Amino acid sequence: MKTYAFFPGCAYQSAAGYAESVAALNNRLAIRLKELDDWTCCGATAAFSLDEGDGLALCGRLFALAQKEGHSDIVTVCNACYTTLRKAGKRMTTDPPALAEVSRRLADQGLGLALPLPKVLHYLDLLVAEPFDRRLTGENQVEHGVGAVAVYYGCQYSRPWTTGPEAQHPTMLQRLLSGLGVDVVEHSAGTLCCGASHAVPYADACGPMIGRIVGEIRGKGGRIITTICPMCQFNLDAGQRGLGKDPLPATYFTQMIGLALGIGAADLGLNKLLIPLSTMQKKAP
Amino acid sequence: MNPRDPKIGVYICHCGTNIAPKVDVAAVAGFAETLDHVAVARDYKFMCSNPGQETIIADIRELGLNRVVVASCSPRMHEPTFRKACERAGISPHCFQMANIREHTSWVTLDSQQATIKAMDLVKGAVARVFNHQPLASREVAVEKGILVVGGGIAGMQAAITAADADYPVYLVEREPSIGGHMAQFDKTFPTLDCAACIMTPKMVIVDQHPGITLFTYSEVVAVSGFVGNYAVTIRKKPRYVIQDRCTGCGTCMEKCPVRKVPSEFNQGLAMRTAIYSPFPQAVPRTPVIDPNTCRVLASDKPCGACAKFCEAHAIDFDQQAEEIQITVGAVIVAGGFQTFEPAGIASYGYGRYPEVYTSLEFERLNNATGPTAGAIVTKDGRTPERVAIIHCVGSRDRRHHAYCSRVCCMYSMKFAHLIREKTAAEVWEFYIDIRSPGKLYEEFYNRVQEEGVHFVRGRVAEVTDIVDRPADQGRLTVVAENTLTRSTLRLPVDMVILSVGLEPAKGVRALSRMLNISVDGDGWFTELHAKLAPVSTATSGVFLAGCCQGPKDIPDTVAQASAAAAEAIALLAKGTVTTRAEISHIDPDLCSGCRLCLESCAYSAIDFDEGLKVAHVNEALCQGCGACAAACPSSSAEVAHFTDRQVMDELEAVLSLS
Repeated sequence: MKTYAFFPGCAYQSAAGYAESVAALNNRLAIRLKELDDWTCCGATAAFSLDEGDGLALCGRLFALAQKEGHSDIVTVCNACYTTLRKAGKRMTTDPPALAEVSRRLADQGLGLALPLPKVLHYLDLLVAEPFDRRLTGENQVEHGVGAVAVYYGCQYSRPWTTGPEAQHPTMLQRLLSGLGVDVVEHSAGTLCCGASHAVPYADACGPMIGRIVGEIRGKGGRIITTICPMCQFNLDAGQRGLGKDPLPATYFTQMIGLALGIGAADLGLNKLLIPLSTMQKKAP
Repeated sequence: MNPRDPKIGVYICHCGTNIAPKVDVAAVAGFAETLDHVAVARDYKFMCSNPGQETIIADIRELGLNRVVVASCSPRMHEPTFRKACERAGISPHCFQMANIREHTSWVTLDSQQATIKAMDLVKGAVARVFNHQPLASREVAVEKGILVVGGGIAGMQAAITAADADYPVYLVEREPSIGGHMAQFDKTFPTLDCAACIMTPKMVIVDQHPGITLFTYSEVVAVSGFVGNYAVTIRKKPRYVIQDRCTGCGTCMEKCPVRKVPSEFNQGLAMRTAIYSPFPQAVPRTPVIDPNTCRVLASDKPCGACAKFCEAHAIDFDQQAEEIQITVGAVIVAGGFQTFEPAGIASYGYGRYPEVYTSLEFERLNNATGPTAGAIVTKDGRTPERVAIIHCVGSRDRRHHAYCSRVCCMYSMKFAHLIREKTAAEVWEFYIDIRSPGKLYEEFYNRVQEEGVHFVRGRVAEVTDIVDRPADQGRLTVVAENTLTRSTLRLPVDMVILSVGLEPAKGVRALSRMLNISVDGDGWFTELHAKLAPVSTATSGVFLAGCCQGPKDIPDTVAQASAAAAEAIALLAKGTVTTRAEISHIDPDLCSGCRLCLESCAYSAIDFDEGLKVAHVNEALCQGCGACAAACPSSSAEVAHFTDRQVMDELEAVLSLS
């Protein structure tokens, strides 16, 4: 059984039930993730916008750590980590001087880089591919009684560094959840931007963006939003304050999959959501 | 001519400014004069011109030259010109050799000195080669008069009618159940707004009734062998499950068929058809076909047979099998057509997700009098639109999809705008990159549509969304675009979006290109022999191109090109004979070991085996001089005339030798 390098990213531990639900799924599906030793921040969008060399070095360090531990993939759970690592990986793969410069900067830590760099995957990519997709079939599903679920991927998972047939308009999570018997609604806000890290310093500008996403989902009949990124989840969960009554719970996709597989709400960290998943709690057995 | 006393003339062409400024032509001529057996060397501005050719002819006559080398352009361009000049002066056209100092030298070399050295090397090689040239004889062989036309759209129909009218038997092969192609799906044609059916169906009837045209619909070409004048073709007729000779085309079977919910291909899925169907009312032939995937009897072996029960002509035959037919023709006209770009991959336009986003071909059907709404422009829920957006260049002029311009989209988009304005009170907004309207009366049509109040926004659409941002957006789609002329963004609620999808090569083009040994370009369109001077010919003699399979074009250009392809085929076959290649293979029976490797390598079945002498023998009438046998022969007994080892090796040695 393959072991994947796991890069949790800075927001993971404080995210509302993400770590609990990922751990629960790892356990249920026998997914082996090895957290990178001595990992550091990927730099997110901030590092690149201030100094590209520093941004590449931060990401390069993570690729080097994964190579040192003998991994061919890095699994992330965050859209910002995913897009930043993919961007840096593409740059270092296609620009030999950039790769050499990063290697030079890492040398005093006893680290180095060699092509091909480890492949960057989102935890979602892992679940929808062999062999784990076969363990997520309708046979496992249990009645969970939550309302219609709207999948929200956020912008950075779908573009600009994503490749493959579903780039720009991913649908794999809808299929996965439908396959588990979850009532999924289609809507048009799945890849809109939530404001990401600007939601706190520029709340006035980001408030309407969050409102637009929630409004579209509510208009199409969604009762629960499910996300794949700590930043998106936080913005949609905390950002609905002041948007009026009847907010929609914003969960992690790992929590919804866990519920569908019959894992208890407490084991999925669902009690940590700001907007409680009350419907589920009333109807669940 | 005494081969032991070769007198060679060498002529260096300036090609205007194509060769001369890069290559020091006088120096090359001076160098050529120093080579063995060269009696004269000259440079001249245009060797292919009349005075240029006359110079060669005069030298042959006056100086007694018996070999000629011209260093100029590609032999594909002017070898025939100079060979004819040699012939006119009384020496064999095969005692001529060309050195390509334009495409291979001046056009591709930056440094002038290097270019001059390379030109000298190539001239040296050509002189060494021509020294070994021998006069060769060609022969005339009879040709088949028949012409195969592949594809029954407007291009194939036009070519077939033209050739058949000139008394050439035509075999027209169409893979769909009816001829007509894309044009049969259109309502009006730009810029004259002729009714497509009105100008199309008479041609379909002519094809059907012409005594000189044998029509194979629901059929495909599966194999082609032979060579110019003598192509053996295998056509596979798919089973219709309806006996064509018996069917009267009454249509009762289609009325009685209980399978009524099959999306109609002809109507782009906007209407339903039955399992036994004729794609459209004017279909030719009228004989319907049974779709084996949806027919209850054929697909699931359920008891039905309603069509058979009600067919008074007893034409239904569920046991019909595919049939293979062999024909022999002298020439082939490829009119394979196009398909439209599939826009679902451009996620931001929402095709496939939003019901009111249409492709242009879907809109053609929506707007068509025989279409799903009998020509009424209405939304899927029956409303008349108040505002329609037309997005240009979907899949065209876009490096992520097709970099080329599809040529017809601007014009058909404006045709749509006119028809929408004519039939409804809707506003029409055209989102374009550039308007391309080069053609007779095209710019006038553009002006007319502008005067009709159609809005034109120069800007590529970023997104089509159904998200409701303002109450007015409810139930509509919002088109988000930048107007690059006013440098402002635009959010426009509309009721219908039409994607002007580009053209791309039809399915099956690759298979056809392999069968006919003709090439396709990087975009998948068939390559013509010469972009300007041989636009309907291909590199395979006797195979011609017509219509969109050669590149996107509109109906007038398609019809003109189809007529040209027919004329070229007729010109080829009219004489009744073609001149065979003189450069064919010969197998020396004294050297042949009888291993038969050449028999396997020959693509033209031109080699026989003499069981008595146990040696291989080349049939000169069939050999195309491809050289496969010469390459395969382990004893060097097979050799292609004009490409003998001696000729090729001497040329190579001279090119590569120092001096």
